[in-house]
Amino acid sequence: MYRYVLKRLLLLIPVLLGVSMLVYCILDLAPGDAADILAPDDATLEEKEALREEMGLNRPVLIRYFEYMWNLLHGELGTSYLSPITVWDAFTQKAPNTLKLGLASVIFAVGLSLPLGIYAARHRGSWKDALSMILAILGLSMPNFWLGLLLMLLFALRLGWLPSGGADKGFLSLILPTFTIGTGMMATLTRTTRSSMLDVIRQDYLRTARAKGVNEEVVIKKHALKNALIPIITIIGTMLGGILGGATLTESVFSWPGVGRLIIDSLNGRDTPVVTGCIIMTTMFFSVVLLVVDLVYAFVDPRIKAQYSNKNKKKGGEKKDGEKAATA
Amino acid sequence: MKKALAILLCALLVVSMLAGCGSKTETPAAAPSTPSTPSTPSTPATPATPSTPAAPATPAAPAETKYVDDIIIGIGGKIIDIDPQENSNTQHNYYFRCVFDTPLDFNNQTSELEPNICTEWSSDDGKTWNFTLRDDVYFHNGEHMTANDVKWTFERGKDSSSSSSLCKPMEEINVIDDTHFSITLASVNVDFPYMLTLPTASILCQKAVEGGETDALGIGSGPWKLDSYEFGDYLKMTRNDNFWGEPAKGKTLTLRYMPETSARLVALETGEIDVCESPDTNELSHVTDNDKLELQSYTSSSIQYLAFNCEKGIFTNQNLRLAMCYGIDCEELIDVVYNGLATKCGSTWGWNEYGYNGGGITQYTYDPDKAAEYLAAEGYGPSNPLKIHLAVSAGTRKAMGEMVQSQVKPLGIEVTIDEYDTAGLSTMTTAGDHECAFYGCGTNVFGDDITRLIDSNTGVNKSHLHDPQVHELMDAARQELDDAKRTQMYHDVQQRLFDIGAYLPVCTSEAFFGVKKGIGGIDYYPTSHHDFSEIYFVQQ
Repeated sequence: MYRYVLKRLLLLIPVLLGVSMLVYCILDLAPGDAADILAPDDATLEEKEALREEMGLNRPVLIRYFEYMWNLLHGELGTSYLSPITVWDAFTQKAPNTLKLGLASVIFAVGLSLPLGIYAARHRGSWKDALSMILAILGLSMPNFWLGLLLMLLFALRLGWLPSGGADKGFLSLILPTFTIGTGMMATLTRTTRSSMLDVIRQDYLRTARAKGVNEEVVIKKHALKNALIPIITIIGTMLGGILGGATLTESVFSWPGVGRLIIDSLNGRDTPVVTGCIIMTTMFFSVVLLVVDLVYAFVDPRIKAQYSNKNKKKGGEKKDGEKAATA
Repeated sequence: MKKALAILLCALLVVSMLAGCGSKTETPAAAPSTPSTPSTPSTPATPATPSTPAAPATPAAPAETKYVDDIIIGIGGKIIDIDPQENSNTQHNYYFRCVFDTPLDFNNQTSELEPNICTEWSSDDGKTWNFTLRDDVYFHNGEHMTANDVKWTFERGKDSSSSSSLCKPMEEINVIDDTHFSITLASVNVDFPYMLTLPTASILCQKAVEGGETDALGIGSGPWKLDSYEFGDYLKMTRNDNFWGEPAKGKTLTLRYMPETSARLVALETGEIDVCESPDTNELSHVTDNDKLELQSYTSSSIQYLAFNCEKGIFTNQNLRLAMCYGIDCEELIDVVYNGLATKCGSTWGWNEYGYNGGGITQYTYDPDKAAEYLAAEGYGPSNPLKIHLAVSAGTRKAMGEMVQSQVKPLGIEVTIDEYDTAGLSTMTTAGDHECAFYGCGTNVFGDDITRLIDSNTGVNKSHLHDPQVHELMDAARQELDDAKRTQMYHDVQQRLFDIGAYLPVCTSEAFFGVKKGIGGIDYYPTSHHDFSEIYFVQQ
């Protein structure tokens, strides 16, 4: 198990190298740079060039990239081109808000989609199943920014129950953006839960359990759901991993001060250090969450746990054999 | 059961549609409410002895009235710096004008210079300027402001991003005593006092910055003090009770970044913010139809123009430039793209700018026959179409590009639209990689400000114009102390720009702010760099 975790963590290095290089180079290919944004309207071409030189933007992109990575190795994510703030500070200022929003959305989505998916699977082919799936498709089809604005008009403007934006009203501020993001997540998760449950419900061992007179609730919750959880956990893991960078539109609509909005604003300002730094952090977060999800599999499904154990035993056995051979 | 399900679904659909389309969304036919900008161009920028300060830009509220303590302004651009010498965009200037003082002030109503922290200013030759500083100005940290702070600030500004164009021409800054100093410029510039009214001339506290105080670059001497901020989210200010002038009426003033226009307007309607910057012109009725809100408007001095690259490519040909100028119907662009809420430009000069001669020069009127003649002279027409690329950014400029595309097609001009984001458009037009491009430029009140657009060496010269006659006239005007002669020179420049067709000035738009009823004291600048320092909110 530890070897597996270490291996996965080591794999992060090439992933991060690839992602950061891609981001850095794509940003360089885009027309315009931070000097254009920073220079005042009346700056002469020479003044703009001097600013570019001062910021080091006139050097080849690969040199800038390697310098960036060298600093990264020393724990420096760099400083924003546009603001007197380090990338780390900018990121850590916004990340808690995005994490809060993302977690709330995932909890909302899981809380609703699991019962809905199970319900749909249990009533397969009935109008209840159709209604559940229509709700899921609705959630998938509605663009976040549009749904967000609709919710805002209804709950903030017409009914006056909730704030229309910002993050300064605590739990109340969280409700509308959570619902907006969670609806899309819920749709995917409901469909996955339903199909996964349908696969399991048809299995012989459940028929046997029912034949033995086991209560239907116990059959579903204890036997069926547990075995249907692997694909559901995978989807939840992907959602959790994506929450740091995946709420950009919703964050803009609800003026939510999060990482997604920071990345978009920095992209528009050609603030390469901030964009690259934030992408590196979100990639790391994503990879670690996926790793955790993989580890959770082992706890949910004893067969996977057994695989880990067997591998270790096998390796231990091989090692012992090797030692024996060496002694001989 | 299926029937019931169908009915339920239909009901759901109707409810969701009603939620989104509940209110009327007609655009008002004309600019409503209280325009606060003057309709005449500014008065000359002659070196002047100060007159007594004029009345505040907006009428003061009655003395007995109660004011709301906290005011929140929803803004569309984010604040990413607190240093007035490092950023000069619209939203930063809102904050700079509240927290910092500039040596002089500009009165938008009278278009005249007014004393601010400098009570007197004079110059005999337009090169050396003498100033007298108030002796009762204190920074927010309690430090007394002296002429040394002014000198240090301007010296520092020479190496800064935003203030360098103001500070670099200062050859020598001589501190006579705590309240007197003189500035000698590298060359004569009669517009210099006007430049000292801009937020880039904000005075910093030398002791605070050199002593490394927390947020030292946010310590000014204005009516509001910097309280707290989070870049890209909000900036909060509190009232400065030790302000040398009349203290602010509210207790806190917050600038909150809300990038989404519709969401910003909803926040105004729900009462979460008190002022909404630039609501969408298609949604103005949400403000005008609401009893609790009010629409305030001003005529922007930001010119939207079509710049032709005169340095390379197809538009080095003057006839082809003029063909475009006469072949585009600007009135139609205004009606369709701006819903009629804009004014056709009479000149490349801003209407608020000294030397403006919009009515006096020959105009580009929509004349397809004349355009066809210019095209035919170069061998182009419907049978041999001229193919051009038009660079735009998203939104209004793209919409204008699409209109132009259809307008000039019958003449035999095929337009391909190249869309960029704002930074991309700026860079490629500065580099001269375009044939023609829609762009915009805000103009300040002093005549020399237009130099940015026509000087061969600036990044805003999107036509890459190098016209010796224009440069000669501008250089002479900058140093001319005689108003009449100077004005004539500026008129000549405008006529020359019209003759060569480097730019097609399209329009200046009406601009709007949605506010709660009771909000007043906002000094709207045509440049859009408004002054919120005297804002108040009368309790209703």
